[in-house]
Amino acid sequence: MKRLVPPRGRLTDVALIGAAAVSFVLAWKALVWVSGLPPYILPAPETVAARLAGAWGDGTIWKHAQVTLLEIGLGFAVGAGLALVAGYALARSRIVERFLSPYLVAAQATPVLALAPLIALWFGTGIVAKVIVCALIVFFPVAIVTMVGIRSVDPRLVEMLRSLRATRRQIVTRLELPAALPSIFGGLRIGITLAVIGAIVGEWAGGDRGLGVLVNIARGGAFDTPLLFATLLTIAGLGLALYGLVVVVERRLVGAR
Amino acid sequence: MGPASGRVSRPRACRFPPPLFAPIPGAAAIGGPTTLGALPATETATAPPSRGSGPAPPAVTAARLRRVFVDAAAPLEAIADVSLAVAEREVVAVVGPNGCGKSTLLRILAGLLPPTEGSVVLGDRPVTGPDPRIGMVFQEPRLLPWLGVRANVGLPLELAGWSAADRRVRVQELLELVGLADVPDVRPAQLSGGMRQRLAIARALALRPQVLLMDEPFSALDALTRERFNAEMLRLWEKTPTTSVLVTHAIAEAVFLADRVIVLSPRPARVVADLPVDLPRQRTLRTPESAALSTTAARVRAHLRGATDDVRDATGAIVPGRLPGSDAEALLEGIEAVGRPAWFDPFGREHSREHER
Repeated sequence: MKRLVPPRGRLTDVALIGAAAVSFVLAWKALVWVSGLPPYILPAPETVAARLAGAWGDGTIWKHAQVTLLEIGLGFAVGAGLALVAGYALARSRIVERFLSPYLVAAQATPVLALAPLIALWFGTGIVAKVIVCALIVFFPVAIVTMVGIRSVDPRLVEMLRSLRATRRQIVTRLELPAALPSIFGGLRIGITLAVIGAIVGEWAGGDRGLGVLVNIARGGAFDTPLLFATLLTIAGLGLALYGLVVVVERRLVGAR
Repeated sequence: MGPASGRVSRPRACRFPPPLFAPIPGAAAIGGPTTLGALPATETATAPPSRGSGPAPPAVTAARLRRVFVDAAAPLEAIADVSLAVAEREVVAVVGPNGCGKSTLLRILAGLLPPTEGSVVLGDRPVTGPDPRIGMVFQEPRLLPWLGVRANVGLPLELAGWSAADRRVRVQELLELVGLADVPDVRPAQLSGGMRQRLAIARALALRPQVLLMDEPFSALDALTRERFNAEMLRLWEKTPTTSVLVTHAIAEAVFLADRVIVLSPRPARVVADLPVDLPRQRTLRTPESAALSTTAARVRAHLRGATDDVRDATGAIVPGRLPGSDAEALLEGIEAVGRPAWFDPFGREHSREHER
């Protein structure tokens, strides 16, 4: 991983992250205190913290979060999996590239927010619609980086493997995939954060469970702004955790080189 | 391959009895250069491997190879007509001007590139694609950067489905062969250029190929490492005798390493000369034979200079390329007698000869 600043010790890293969190909470608290906004507009950090702990404690958030997590997991797997295949085909076949890339770009340029209601109309308000929205939004970046990564594989190494009578499959698994892995993981990092967005958007378009639904409940019927904040924090935390998971896998597979 | 096999087999009969002393094939090569382009196989047969213990059937036979690249804007003829026969355990060097199609020729021999016309036969079976009987060393080491030393050398074994235990034994053998057994298992990036190329050679030998093809394998090395490598290659060939074809642009290297030097014309490639190096395999940089080496080097150089490409004159008419004839011979006058032992300094020689003219 490239760093913009010179590397420091692990302890310094942790201290810096802690300092950032503390200053964020302090600034939030200061804003509440200075502006004097009512709690239903901007609740104080301790109010949100209490609500967060309460909602996790009584299972309110978990009930919704597990659905969202499942949607993200499935959507990411399907989207990234298809994108790897499509990216490879785009890189190695001119016909596929010409045939597919206009639709790929058009699909990406159409806001997923606008597509989600249509998908909900077709596939209902169950998990399938959300998985499709997730997969759709994950697909593009992963397909593009896979294509670029496979294309940048040194053709001389391909020739070397051919001289060793490697099969098409061996060339993919021994050379092309490992060589493209660093760029593929760049796409997966983007993809996992987009998958969170995709799941929430999908839930907004229709559904009765999920963190996106909980956001609507907290804002609308319940008018529970601290719960809204608690849900937003949960979504952000979920995104961070999943991103971290991708980075950990990446370090294990790529970083060991 | 009817006519081609005729070309090859006819002169092979000339090997009985094999030449008693060496200068004859050399002299023949210089004496009849006008026929060289048309009948390259003749030369092949008059130059048996110097360590040969009787006539062996050619291990590699390339018959009337032609290769045209049509994917470019205009079709590009890289190889016009090249035939060659390499005897078992013989080391043949192919030299030629830059971009003359040497590497293309090697790729065809390796089965990596199909010839437009002609065929390659190894032993009694034709080469139709990448072949387990062939080991290839490229100009660059072409190692997989994420694999360690052992995994890189063992790659051919792994691809061929060897068990982990068998692989370990063979990899150890190979690393000892190229003198890398004591190198820790690091990534290629942490190795020197010479070490990387050794790995590449070990990898090429992994499946015990009958034929070793090398495409300018030492050109990326610095001059000192390169000289050491040349000496080491001779040692390696002694330990693991393989039929070898070595493409190089260094005349000194070609003469030092090979039993026979084939000179190609500028693109499209034809065989211009096929010159034996009449020395036993046990060569060192300091042997008195270096005089003989330098004579052979001068001969190779003369043929390289004699050949010219097709050019257009002022009116736009094509002046056909010329194969070396009396010119090459004229250049050689006096050289045979002098035989200065400076084969490893080819450019010095070339300069001095230019002054003489």
